[in-house]
Amino acid sequence: MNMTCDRITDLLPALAARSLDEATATAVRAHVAGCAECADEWLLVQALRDSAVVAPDGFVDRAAAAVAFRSHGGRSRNRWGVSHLTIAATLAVAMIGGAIAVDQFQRDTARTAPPIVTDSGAAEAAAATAAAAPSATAVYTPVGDPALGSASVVSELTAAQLEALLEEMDS
Amino acid sequence: MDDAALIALAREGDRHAQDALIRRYADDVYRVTFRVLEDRDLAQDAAQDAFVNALHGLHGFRGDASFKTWLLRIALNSARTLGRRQTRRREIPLLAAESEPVKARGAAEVVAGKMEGARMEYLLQQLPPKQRMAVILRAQSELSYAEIGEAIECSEGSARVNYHMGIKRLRELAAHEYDM
Repeated sequence: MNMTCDRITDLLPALAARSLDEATATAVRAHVAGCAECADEWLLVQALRDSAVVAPDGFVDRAAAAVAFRSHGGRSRNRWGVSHLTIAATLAVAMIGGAIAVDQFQRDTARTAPPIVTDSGAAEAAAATAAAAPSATAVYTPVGDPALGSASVVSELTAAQLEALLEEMDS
Repeated sequence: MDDAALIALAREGDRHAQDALIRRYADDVYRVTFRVLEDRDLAQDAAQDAFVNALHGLHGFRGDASFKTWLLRIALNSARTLGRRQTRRREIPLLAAESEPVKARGAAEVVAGKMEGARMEYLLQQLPPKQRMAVILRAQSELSYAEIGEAIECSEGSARVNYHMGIKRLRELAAHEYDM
């Protein structure tokens, strides 16, 4: 490849983008027509240009909305328009609510399920019933989480605690 | 209206000017974030973050580089930051083929009708990251070598070498696959 070819290949992206002046574009095309090496690279540069990834439909509007939202002091939002704080709060509700529901289900099951009676006799059944009885009066105690402090429902969390939870989820 | 005029208005909070800058560079910014993250959704998030940070940090744009170069550098940083976070969560697909197909600008078939856009994506992924980015910024976003150097933080000469090595490698790969 001689210097002319070096110069030509440097100009190929601009030729593909149609940003060369007409005289230069004509000279580049003439060179490409008579040079197999540069013609090969020209095909590739055109292919790269034609296959360029472009922003999805609606991206411009979403980005503009995000910029405007930030202008008004809003927090950053993702492509679904939901702030990370909202996601953290939703997940916290789901986790805490889920834990309470599972705990309550286990308590109800233990209280209402008939004891297993085997051939060994009723004494075993009576013992099972007695063991289940105290749970009816048990008090639910949530598992401690440093990010949540002493709060058991999300409405009791402070903004700082929600931020801490978000950080914990991010890490 | 040129970039300088739009930037002056955007600095004062003019939404029309901000929107115009976003419209003008949306494809370039998205292309860079997609190239780093290889995931449509993550690339959109990173591109959006880049515009938010750039347009709210216009006071930091001194005009030493072109606005486009400055913006693409911010986009690269946004994508890398998001990429690191996602890598920790192990959510990034190892291959772009695992994510949604990308939308290409032109016809599906390129290179004299031989190569599909998706195939070009595959070939680009075979390049080392700096060569790939230099090729994308030069052939698809029309940056000069000096601007590429500023965007990916290397010298102008290194940007030129990375571009030409990337093009050479792509030609070899294409010739191997399509007997061009």
